[in-house]
Amino acid sequence: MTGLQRVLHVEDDESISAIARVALESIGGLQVLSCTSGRMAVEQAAAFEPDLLLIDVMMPGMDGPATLAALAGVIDLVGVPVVFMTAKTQPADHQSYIALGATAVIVKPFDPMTLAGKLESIWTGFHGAQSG
Amino acid sequence: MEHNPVDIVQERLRQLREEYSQWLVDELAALATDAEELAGGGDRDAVWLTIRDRLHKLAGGAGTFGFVDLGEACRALEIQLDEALATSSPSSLAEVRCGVMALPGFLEPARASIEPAKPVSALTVQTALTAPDATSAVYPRVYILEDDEALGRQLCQILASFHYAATLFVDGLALQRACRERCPDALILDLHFADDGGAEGLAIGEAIQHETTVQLPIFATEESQRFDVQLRAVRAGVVGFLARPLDPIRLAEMLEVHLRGHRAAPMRVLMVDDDASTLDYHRLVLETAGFAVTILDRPELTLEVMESFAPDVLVLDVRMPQCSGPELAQIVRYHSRWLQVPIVYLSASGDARAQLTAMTKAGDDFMVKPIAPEALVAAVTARARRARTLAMALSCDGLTGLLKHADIKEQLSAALAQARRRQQPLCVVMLDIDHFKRVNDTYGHLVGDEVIRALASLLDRRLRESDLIGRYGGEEFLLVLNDCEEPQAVRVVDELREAFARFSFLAEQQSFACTYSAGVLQANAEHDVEALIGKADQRLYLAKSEGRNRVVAG
Repeated sequence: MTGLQRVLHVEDDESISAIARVALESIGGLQVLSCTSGRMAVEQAAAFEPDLLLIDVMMPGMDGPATLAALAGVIDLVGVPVVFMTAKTQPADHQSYIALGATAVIVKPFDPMTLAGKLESIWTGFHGAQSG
Repeated sequence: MEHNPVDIVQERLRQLREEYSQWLVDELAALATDAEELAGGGDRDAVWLTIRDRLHKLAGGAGTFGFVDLGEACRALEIQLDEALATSSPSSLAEVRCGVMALPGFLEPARASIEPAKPVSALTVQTALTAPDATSAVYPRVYILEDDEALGRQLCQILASFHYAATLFVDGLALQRACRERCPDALILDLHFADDGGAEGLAIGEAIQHETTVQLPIFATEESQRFDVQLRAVRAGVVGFLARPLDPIRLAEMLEVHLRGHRAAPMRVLMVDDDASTLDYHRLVLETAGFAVTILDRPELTLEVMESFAPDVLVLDVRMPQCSGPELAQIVRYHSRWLQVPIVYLSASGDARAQLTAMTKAGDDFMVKPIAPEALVAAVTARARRARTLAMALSCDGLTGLLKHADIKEQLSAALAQARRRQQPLCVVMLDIDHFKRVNDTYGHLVGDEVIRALASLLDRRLRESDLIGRYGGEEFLLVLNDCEEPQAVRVVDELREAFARFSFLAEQQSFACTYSAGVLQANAEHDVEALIGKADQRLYLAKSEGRNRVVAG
């Protein structure tokens, strides 16, 4: 176990995608593959071998849960925590995402300065829980 | 100076924010066009769905780029629109349409601060009665459950004058629904509340707490001596009890004390270390945790920087080429002004002897590098918080929590120097409660103290964090308004005068009102502290002689 390095980010909003990239690459020192649609993520996920999936919930066409289901068909999700990002703040919604297989939910708006740290602690927590 | 990685990241973030703000202008214009289209014929449902998608995108994105209020407003509108579409309510849809058209107002902060952009209600609860000016997204949100509608309305108005966005509910289910849609900052519950469905106040509070992720502070408006009720209340998250008959001003004060933490200025940390890369990293960690951080790689400048930055905590590297951390700490402690500031050492070695030496020389904590971010944040937070509490207790007036006479004068002197350096305007206000002796003579000193506390709370709540407020004498207050021109100061002090005059105080079954007079003066290049206070006092005297309950300026 070497720590969180590779994040697959699926987000249709380009401005959010750009700021998340700075937050994760420059501040967090992580490698990021940014995909603007679920379809693109499915095509590129296997080659990228992500350590963690960060997926926007509400996207046109294939939404977050659909993207996750499709990704599960092309890569092995064992050991890969899934984080949904959503502008919905209601706890009930978050519960339903967890039920769909998400490890954690990050609420938009997010703070670019702390995003990488959040993902790292989610990753560490996930692996601690899996091995312990 | 060479750019370090932190600066580059900050610069990149700034650029992205800039690009986003450009995009926002177009996006809000597009939204307004959509909203206008609704007036004509065509496929309205399709237009509403487009608007909904745009609002959703803004609700998530705007805050990330620093447009927090706009993001919140969009989120509120999105929720309201969902509900309006579900119930096909034309009046709710019209309200959403108004809200959408008003969104560009959020891009003009100057205008928005004078006239809060078009009220955007997060709620479409039929039984909710909202105080007229209490829906702005920037004020702390307080929900009130009270079956006495007249009392509830009065509460809303008082809280609005303290700049809380208060909403009254006379129906428990509506309150629960509203909390689900948007969690308030505090809840005021009538424990004797009982609605048609038979739900009682505390049970409603418990149900709401059950659904929220963070514990919501609840204020209960009924004193109960029964242990079982009190225990239940504690478990439901009740943080304060208030006896009846209800004193709205006392309640506002309790809220203020409890929610004050949310708006306290960030804790300031000064870090001295000769290793620039460690400094940058630690700065990033602490800034991420909400601290204001200044870093310094030249120990000899420490005192100079402390003078202008006034840190709450000092973090020192133990080993530096020019002088050691403990040596520097001793130099700092030579100055009586800095006897209180906590000192935390960071050391690359875990050498126990070095630790002991360091601690006996002056210092409060010792940490070994590399230090986990959480540990650094925890150590600094604990020290900073205690130091602030201590400093507050020493320099603040016991009755009002404001600065004491000597301290407000000292801080005025510092503020004046800073204003001159920055070439910013500064105003001084002397303020005195009218006929205060009569209040004391008629109702006694305890009631008089209530009046003073109410005014202190009002000032503290309504003025900006950067303004200084001191209790200058018995019923006399001194305000220092930074970066503020005289006309603006007069406007603010006059608005507060009107708000204060509307308060109604209770004593011996009677209610009475109080007013104040004030003198306002903008500092010029010649004024020193004594001259400023003297001139402001002359204007206060003029306000009194012209009939009181007024504000006099130049």
